[in-house]
Amino acid sequence: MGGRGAQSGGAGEEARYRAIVDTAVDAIVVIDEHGRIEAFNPAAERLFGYAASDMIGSNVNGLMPEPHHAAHDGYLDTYRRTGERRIIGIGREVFGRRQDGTTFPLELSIAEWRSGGRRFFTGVMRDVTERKRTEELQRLLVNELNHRVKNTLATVQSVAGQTLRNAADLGDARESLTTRLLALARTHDILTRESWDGADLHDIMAGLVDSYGDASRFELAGPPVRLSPKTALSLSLALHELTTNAAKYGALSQSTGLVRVGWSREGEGDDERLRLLWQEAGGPPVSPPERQGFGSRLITRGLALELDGEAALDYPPEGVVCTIVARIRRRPAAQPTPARGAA
Amino acid sequence: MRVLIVEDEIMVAMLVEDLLTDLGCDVTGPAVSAETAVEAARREIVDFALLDVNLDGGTSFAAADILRARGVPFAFVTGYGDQGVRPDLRDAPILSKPVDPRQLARTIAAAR
Repeated sequence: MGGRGAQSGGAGEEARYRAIVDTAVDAIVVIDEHGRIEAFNPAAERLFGYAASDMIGSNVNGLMPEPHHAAHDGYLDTYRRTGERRIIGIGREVFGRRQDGTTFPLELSIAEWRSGGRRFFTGVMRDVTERKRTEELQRLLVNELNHRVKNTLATVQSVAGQTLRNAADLGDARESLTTRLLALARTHDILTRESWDGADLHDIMAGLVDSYGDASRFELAGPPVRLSPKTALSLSLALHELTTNAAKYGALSQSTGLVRVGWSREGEGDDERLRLLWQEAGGPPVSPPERQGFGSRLITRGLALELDGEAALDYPPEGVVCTIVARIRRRPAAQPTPARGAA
Repeated sequence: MRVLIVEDEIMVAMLVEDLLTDLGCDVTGPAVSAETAVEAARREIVDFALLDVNLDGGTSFAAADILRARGVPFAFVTGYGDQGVRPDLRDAPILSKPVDPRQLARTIAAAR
């Protein structure tokens, strides 16, 4: 038992306690009942930017921003008179003030003790700036996630509604709805890989060809083009519709058919545009459809608007041709949007 | 009844277009950006407007101000909830996404 009894005197024990305080990771400040600082450990020096020698004897309210700076003497006075505890023995999150005047959130716990007929308070403090920042970021992300999920559900509502309106029968509806949702999911995967910053047209095309399952039926040619998440989603859904249509009635419905997709960039700077040409060949003779389905509505009405460009679907006998011209917007990377800011 | 649609996501715009057409409305739009929404709010002769709050980094609040000054009633559609709408505009109906067709029908019926 080499415990405290083995120590020959108070001096050794005090050195031990001193070492504990001096090496503590948390800031420790001791004050008397009038708020005068009695002890200020090295972690407190680092936290507040003051030297202990400058702080000993000064009022602890120098470490607090308003309103506590002005009110702290009053808090101590009230406690001395009433004994009513607001923070002692409890601890809470408050703001601290550094020597340079900056403030920061800190977690503070206070213990009370007596020695030689006098009363002292020990405050243990820890900077929680990083934790607060993480909590704020998490709150923003949860809000943003909620917003995106709601938007995605609205997109699914739209796809389902239009699919059911246009379907020939229930089997057709089930098949169309499933493949459309899979096409959306595929684009989500690509966007998630890039943290929803955007997607390259090559990756969108590769996903499309991969889901069709036979790369030999496609001829793809074009430079890298970065698409915004929104453009990537609607363009890939449009390409999915073209592929489905080609497999049912067009070039992909016969073993000799081929789909050529070529794209280029035109213009400079803010006027730069993507021009994409979808061309089918080797399929059965084509004639325009009798009524507008989901795919052609999406392409000719929606896509042109959303891409701030043009989109046309033509049905010459030798094969379907789709031309899409889209403005390539140069925008800073998307940031999570604070819900309260409503940006 | 003629209704202006402001919505930057074309899939949602198509949905709203279908739902409004089902309700017997004539639709115009969609305006897909804050700028085109303002333009449409100034120019279009409409009885009602359905405004998506968030438009590609901007909002439809400026368009709402113009519609209000013109005496055209409107409702918001948003995925952010009431908190996403500018406080002085929260007296307008606020519909959430996905869109509840019954709620939309009630909103349109109240504006007729």
